[in-house]
Amino acid sequence: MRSLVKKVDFRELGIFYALIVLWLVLIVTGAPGFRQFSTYQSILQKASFMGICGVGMTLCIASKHFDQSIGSMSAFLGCTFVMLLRAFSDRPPQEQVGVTVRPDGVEYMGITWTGILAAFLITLALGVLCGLFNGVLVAKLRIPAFIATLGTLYVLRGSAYLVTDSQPYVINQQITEKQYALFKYLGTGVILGLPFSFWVMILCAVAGGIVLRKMKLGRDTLAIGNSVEASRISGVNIDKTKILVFTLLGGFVGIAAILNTCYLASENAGMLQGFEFDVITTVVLGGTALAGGKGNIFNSMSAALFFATLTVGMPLIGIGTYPQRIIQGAILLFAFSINEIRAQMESRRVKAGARRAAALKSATQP
Amino acid sequence: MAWIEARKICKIFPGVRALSDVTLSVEKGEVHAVVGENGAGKSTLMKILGGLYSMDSGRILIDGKECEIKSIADSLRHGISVIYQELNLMPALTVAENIYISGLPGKMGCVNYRELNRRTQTLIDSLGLHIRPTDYVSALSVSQRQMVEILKALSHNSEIIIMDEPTAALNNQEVETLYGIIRRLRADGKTIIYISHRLREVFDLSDRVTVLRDGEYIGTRAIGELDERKLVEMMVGRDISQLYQYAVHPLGDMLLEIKGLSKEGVFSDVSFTLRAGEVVGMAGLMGCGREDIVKSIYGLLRHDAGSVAVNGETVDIRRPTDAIKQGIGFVTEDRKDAGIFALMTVRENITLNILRVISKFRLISAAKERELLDTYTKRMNMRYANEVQRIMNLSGGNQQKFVLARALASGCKVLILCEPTRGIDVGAKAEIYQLLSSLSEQGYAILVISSELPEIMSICYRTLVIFQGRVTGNILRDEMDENLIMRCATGGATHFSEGAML
Repeated sequence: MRSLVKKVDFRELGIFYALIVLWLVLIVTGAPGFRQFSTYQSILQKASFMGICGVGMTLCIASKHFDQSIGSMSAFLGCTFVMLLRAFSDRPPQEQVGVTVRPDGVEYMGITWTGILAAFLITLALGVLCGLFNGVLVAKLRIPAFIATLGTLYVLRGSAYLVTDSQPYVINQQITEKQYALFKYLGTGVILGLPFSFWVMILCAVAGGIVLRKMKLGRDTLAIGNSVEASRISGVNIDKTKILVFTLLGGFVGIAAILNTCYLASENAGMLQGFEFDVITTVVLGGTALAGGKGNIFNSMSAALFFATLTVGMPLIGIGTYPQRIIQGAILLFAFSINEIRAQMESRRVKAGARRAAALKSATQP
Repeated sequence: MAWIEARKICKIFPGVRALSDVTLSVEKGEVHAVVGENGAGKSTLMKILGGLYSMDSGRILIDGKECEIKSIADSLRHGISVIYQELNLMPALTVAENIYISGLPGKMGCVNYRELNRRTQTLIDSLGLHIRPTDYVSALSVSQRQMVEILKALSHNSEIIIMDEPTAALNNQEVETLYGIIRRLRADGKTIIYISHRLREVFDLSDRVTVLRDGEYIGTRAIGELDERKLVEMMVGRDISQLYQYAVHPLGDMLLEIKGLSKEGVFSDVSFTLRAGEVVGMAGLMGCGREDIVKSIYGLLRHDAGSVAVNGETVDIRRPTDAIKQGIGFVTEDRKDAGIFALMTVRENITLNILRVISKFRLISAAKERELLDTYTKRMNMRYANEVQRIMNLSGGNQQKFVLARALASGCKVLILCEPTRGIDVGAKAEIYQLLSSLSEQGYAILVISSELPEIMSICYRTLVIFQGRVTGNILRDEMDENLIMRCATGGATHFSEGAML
C-alpha cells in the first residue's frame, strides 16, 4: 500500500476530486432524481460507452494523434451488428410476414446461437479493421490524423446509411425469448448493483492501463507522443506503434457499439453524431494533453463519469436542451484550457521555488 | 554614461537558473563582446533584449530611460535588432521581401515592388554587397543569409545590433567580410553587441568585453587590459584541466570501421576507424556534413555507398534498431527535442531502448527498471527528487546524463555523441568528461562531434576533421592545434598525422 501511495501522484487526480465533489453536491442538495438508484444506473450506463472508447482514445491522444471518426464508426458497427443478426436469421428478411409469435406476443424470426456469436465476432473484427484502416492512413500514407479520420468519419457514416438503407431496426424482431434475454442483459443487466456495461468498461480500463503502463506498446506510444525523433533514435517502430494504437481504438469502439446497440435494443444510421467529441472532451478533461506524451486512463474514466453525470443530471434539475449544449461547450473549452492553466501554474511554482532558493543563497552569502 | 544598460537581470527556466543578477552596460558606438562558455547565459540575455523571452526581474535602460521590452516589436521600437544563431529568414521569399516583411511599402494591401526593391538596393549598396533584392533567400549561401539579416536590422534603423555567434557557420574569407561590415557599422555610429566563444574574434573586433559564467556576471573589461589567458580564466573560473585530467588508455580491438561511406551531395568517401579505449573527436563547421555521417552510421539516414563494420564484421544497418543490436549508441545534439522524453519519468527515460529485454511475459519489470536506474544513478551521479519525477524538470546536465545512460543501458560498445556538453554547466561538463574517460578505460570506443575545439582538444586522443563532407584531417593529440584544425575545417589544408590509424 505504501508503495502504491508513493507511485500515485495525487496532484494529477484533479478530475477525480471534481467528480466526488460534484456527486456530493448533487446528493447533499437533494437535486431531483439524485436520490434514485436508477439515475445512477443511467449515469454509469452512459459513462461506460464513453469510457470504453475513452480507453482507446487516451492511448491515441497520448501518441499525439486523435480520432474523430469513432462516432460514425460506432454507428456503422452498430448497424452492421443488427444487419448481421438479420442476415443470419433462419429466413430471409422478405419472409417476415410469416414470423413466429412469442408468448409475450412479439413476433420473431429464428436465429441460431452460432449466428449470434458470428455477428458479435464479425462486428468486433470490423471495428479492428476500421481502426487499422485509420492507422494505415496516418502512419503509412502520412495523412494528418485530423484529415484522415475526418475522411473516415464521412465514409463510415455513409456506410452506416448504406447497410441499413436508412431504416431503423429493432433487435427484438429477430430473436427468441432466451436470446432476447441475452441482449437485454448485455444492454441493461446489473451485476452487484452496477450495469453490465460498466463492468466491461472497468475491464477495458484495466486492460488499457496495463498496456499503457506495463507494456512496450504503451511506452512506445508515450514516447512518440513526446518526441518522434527521440523515439526513432531509441529504435521504436513508429509506424507500427501508430497503427496498433488506432487498431486498438477500433476494437474498443466495436465493444462499445455492440453494448450500445443492446442497450437501446435498436439501431439507426444517424445515431451517435458528435459522440467522438464527447469522448475527446472526457479524455482531455482527464488531463491527457492533445499535445501528446502523457495519458492517464483512470482520469479518463473519472472524466467520463463526470461528463455523464452532467449530461444525465442537467435535464433532471431542469436545464433545457439548448443551455445543455452551451454548458457542454463550456466544459470542452475548460477541458482544453485547464492543461495550459496547469502548466503555467506549475512553471510559476518551479520559478517561485528557484527564486526562494536564490534569495536564500544570496542571504547566506556575505 | 552607458547607452544601453541591463541591470540585475534574472531569468529562470524550469530546473535551471539561466541568469541571476546579470549586468550589461554598453557604450554608444562600441563593439561590445559578450563571452562565456555554452550555458553561461549569453543567448538568454540577448533573447531578453530582443523581446523573445521575458525576464523574471531586473531593469533595462536605454539612454538613461527605463524601458519595458515585452515583445520583439518593443525591442525594435527601442532600436534593438537581434540576429539569432538560427537564422530566421523565409527561404521561399526574396531578399527584399524578407528585409521589409514587417512593413512592406504599398497601398491598400498591395505591395509596391518597385519601391521595395529600390529601398533594398539602397541598403545593399550601403554595405557594398553582391546580392540582388530579387534573389530568393533559398538560393543564398549561409554567409549571404547572415548579410540579409544584417540588412534587415539596418532597415529598422536600429541603433543597437546584437549578433549571436555570427561566425559559427562561416569560412575564413566570409568571416573577413563580416569583420569588414561590423567595422563599417561601428564607423557609422552603430552599437554592436557581439556574442562569441571564439576568443580570437573577440580580440580582433571588440572594444570591450563582458564575461558571463553559469548565468552570473563576472566582469567587464576593456580589451586592452586583457590577454587570452586572462579572458579564459574569467570565462572558466577554474582551470578546466583541474576539473578534468586527460588520461591515456591503451587501445584495444578495432570496434568500428567505416569504409568509403558516401551520400550524394552530403558526404563522400568517408573512411575511419574507432578502436576500443579511444575517444575520437570530429570537428568541422556547421553544415559540413558531420551529423549526416554519424546519422547514416546509426541508421537514421540512408547512405548510397560504403560499408560499416562492427567488430570486424560488415553489417547492414538500416534503422536504429539494427545499430542498437550491433552495440552502437547514439546521443543527439538536440537534447530537448530528440534526446529526452520530456513528459516521461526519469525511470522511463532510461529504459526505452531495451524494453523488450526487461519485459517478462510482455510486461515491463518495474524491479528491473529500478535496478537500472539505481545502477546508473550511482555510476553517473544523477540528481533527481524521485523515480517518478518528469525529466523535463531536471537541469540540462542531469538530462544529458540520462540520455547517455539510455544509450549505455542498451549495452553498446561504440558511442557516438553529438555536442555532448551543449548547454550544460561547467560542473556537469567536467563530470561528463570524466565519465567518457572512464568509459574509454573500460574499452568503449567513443566518437565525439563537437563545435568547441577546446573540448575536442582536452578530451580526445585523436580528431577527425570534416570539410564539405570529406575527411580532411586525422590529427593525433600531440599535433592538435586550434589553428591546424580550423585550417582543415575550412578547406585550407589537409593533415593526416603519421602513425595514426584513419
